[in-house]
Amino acid sequence: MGLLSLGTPLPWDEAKNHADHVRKHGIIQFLNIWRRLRNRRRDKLLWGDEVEYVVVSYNDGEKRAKLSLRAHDALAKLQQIEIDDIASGRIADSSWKPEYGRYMLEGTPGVPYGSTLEDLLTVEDNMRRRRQLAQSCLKPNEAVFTFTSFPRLGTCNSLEPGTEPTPDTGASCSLFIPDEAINPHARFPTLTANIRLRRGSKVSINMPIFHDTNTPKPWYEPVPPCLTRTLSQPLPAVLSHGCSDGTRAQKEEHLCNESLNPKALPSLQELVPDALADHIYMDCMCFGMGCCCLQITFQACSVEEARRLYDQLTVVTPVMLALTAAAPIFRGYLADVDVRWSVIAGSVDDRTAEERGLQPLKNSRYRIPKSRYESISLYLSPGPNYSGGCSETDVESPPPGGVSSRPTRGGEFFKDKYNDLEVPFDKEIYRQLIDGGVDEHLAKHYAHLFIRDPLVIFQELLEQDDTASSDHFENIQSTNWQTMRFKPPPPASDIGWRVEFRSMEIQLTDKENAAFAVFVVLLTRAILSFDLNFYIPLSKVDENMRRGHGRDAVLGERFWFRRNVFGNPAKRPAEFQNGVPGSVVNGVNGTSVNGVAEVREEDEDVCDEMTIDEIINGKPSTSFPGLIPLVRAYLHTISPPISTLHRLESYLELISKKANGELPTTARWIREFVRGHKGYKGDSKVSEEVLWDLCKVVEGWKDGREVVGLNA
Amino acid sequence: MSVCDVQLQPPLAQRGKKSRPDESGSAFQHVLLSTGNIAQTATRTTTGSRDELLQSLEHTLTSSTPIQLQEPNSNVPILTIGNTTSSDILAEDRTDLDITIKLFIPSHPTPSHVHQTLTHLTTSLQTTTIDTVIVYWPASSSSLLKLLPLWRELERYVKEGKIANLGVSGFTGADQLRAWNQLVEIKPTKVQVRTEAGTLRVAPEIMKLSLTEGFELYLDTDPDDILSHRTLQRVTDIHSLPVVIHPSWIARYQVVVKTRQVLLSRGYV
Repeated sequence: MGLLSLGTPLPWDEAKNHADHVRKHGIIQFLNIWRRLRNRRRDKLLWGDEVEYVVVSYNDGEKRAKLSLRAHDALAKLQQIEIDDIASGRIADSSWKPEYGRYMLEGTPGVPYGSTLEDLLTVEDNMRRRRQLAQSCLKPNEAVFTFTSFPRLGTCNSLEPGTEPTPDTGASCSLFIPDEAINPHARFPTLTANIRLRRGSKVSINMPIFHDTNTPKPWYEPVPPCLTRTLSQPLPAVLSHGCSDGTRAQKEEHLCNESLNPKALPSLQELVPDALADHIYMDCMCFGMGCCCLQITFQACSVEEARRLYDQLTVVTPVMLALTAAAPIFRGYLADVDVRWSVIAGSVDDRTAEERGLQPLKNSRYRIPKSRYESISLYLSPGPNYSGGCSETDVESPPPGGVSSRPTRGGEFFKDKYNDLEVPFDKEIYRQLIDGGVDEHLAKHYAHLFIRDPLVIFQELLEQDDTASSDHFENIQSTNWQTMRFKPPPPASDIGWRVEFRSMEIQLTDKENAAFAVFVVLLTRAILSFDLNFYIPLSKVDENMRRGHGRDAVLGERFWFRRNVFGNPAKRPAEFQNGVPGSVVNGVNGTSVNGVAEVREEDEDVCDEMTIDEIINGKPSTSFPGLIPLVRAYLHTISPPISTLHRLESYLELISKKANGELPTTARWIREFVRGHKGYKGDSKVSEEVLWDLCKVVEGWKDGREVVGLNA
Repeated sequence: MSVCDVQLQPPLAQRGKKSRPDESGSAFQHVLLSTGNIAQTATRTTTGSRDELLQSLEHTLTSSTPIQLQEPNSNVPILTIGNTTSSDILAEDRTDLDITIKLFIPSHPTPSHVHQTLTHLTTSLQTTTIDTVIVYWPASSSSLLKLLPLWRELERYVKEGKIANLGVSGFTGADQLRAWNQLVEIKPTKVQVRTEAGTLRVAPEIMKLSLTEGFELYLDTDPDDILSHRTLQRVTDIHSLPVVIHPSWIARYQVVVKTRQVLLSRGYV
């Protein structure tokens, strides 16, 4: 969740005045890093994972499972263990950080994983030890879980210790979640309040309800009991003001001076301006940033390689989202989606009404199509002069005959047509970057990220030494939360250019989390080894993200994916257009010239709509190899010892089965658990009793190594 | 492009990649076919090394002009098609690289095969050392001795510090491995085995042997017959090489960057 500076955060009406200052110095700081470190070469592969947990408190007498705000105390203990280890010269096995929710923990390996295939075998054990260590710091009636979306977050009395939400005051002004749920470190409540204040209203998230057999159509939510008092009074001014314009006018008649009968209240959707019929309404940052995810960061050997992998993996982000889907329940209701992505996107959407296109631009500078938490909007391209390797000569002296005289090494795959989204960017910052020696694609990337305002500014850190600090840069960089993040080295460390893969949902078991993490890393190795090209237009990637949300999208949806992933087929001799050696093909896709078919560019770059099964396991009819066969071919080429191969193969098998439906996604497993529970009434409501049993079952898996019907 | 009219005169006999002196009075006794780095060309395939070799051979024959070179240390002319020299490797630090060669011997292994392969590859890969050499030999108990002279030659290279590890592939049973280890001075540290179809299960006796004898087990993903005489003949016929041709040895080289686990270069000679 970004870097945690210490100090006094400025309230919004002061912070907003320093936006330009932070932006300006942030760019200078980036340029300083660029100039010094752009030619860094030969960094080895190091990588790490971030796992987010929630802590649940059991109230055995009432059979209630609540989110424990005492996780914060456990975090202090865990951090102390880490400090003690380092002080006594030991290598800390794990490292712990606060996350948005006070009931959350974030754990990473103590030192990054290394570059060998054997290192990949240590991931699952490391994750398991982290879970055990966290558990050991909890009270006897508490347990740690990796739920992407805790099913009853935001329902009445779902926190321990319990407190009431404060809709008319505080950072969130939420109807459902009290500010006590937010991590008390100054950054988090400030971020929450400033997003709301900048936006001019509360955030507004509506996820479609899952219509089950007894769910009314249309679905209007009965006012939750704990809100009866609040909503039976004329809505507090800040609350009605706190909803977005547009919907407010319709609801005004309910709000002013009517005395509503608390025992016969209209539905939530009729009372609250932003709430939509047939949707689960959520109104604060905690619903999104209080979710848990799985993130992978790895180091590239050079800035060019980092950019190349950033681009290639972007295409894979929706595929992994659909495969790891684990969030079918929000605020106690079964949703018609399986993933958390849109919820988080909405939860930190600080765009004003003008920026969202609801009003003409007057005070805001740009129309901005996306929330600052969203899929990326620009490919980076590897950059000029990239010929594929990681050595000094790439930059200093391209090979004789030019870059194209070599077999293609990934630098030629990028084409401008792939960046086909509308992208607002700061022209002045763009110019500054170009003048500072940055190429056009990277310049546009940062000119786009830097249209955002800094949300949390610490008084003490306003003035910085731009050659030594990257705090202002990170301020903007780390509050653009996207499917991929391109991470420049910090100014004063030995860390190289890195890439972060951010779309995956966290799974209930460490075996699954390890499998997905290892798979992404292996995929990057296969991409580099075989010069794979996954480029498709970003508009199609965004379309895939949308499709990846649906209930069981992994089985029911089709996703755009590039058909020709090997090198450049235009260079393939005609005899191989059909992959049959020795046969002469008379211009399958074009005319044959000197035995080499000239393939039309549209055919070369064509993408097909494929199921996740086809993308992951292959589609023989179009010779699309499939991501797992590609990874397997990579493993057989590198040829590790059989024992290593055996374990890695078990991870590939797990993912293969998730892709073809032999194993359910976590979302489907949870959904079916709920629907099959004897206490479930077919009305989309997930009760206390169901949640209790769900937690007890998951906890009963102990280390979750093998769970038949989920990961085995 | 066609290769037939350039320098070849029928009938042709080949050695190096091809073999077997054929008629007398032939212009070339040896032909060396190199595919160059195929790791990133469009001939990449996931259907197995036999197809990979075939496709890259075709690619080479189509796209390379044969050149006449002298075989090192002799006056024997060699027809060379294709180029192994890989500039990717030059740019990297040798200590970061892991270079492996797998040597396939179709019929008669002789020490000179080792010499030819290694000379050619060390020159074109611009290195003096090879990390691992694995020999594929479809061993039956009676044929172990046939491999011995070639192995002795490899041992010589190891003692001179030019090869770090030796390995074997194609040995079918624990008995053979045990017998082999009795015969040789420098034992293989890497053993490639086949596993039950669709699994990665290794016969228990071999597992036990790997522990007592101290070698590591690897998966053999290559077929028995990576390039048959008939297939090679068909390929050369299609490309109008009027030759009678037998492969005498086939080598696959592979270069991996250790610190990033990235394949840098892979090809056949």
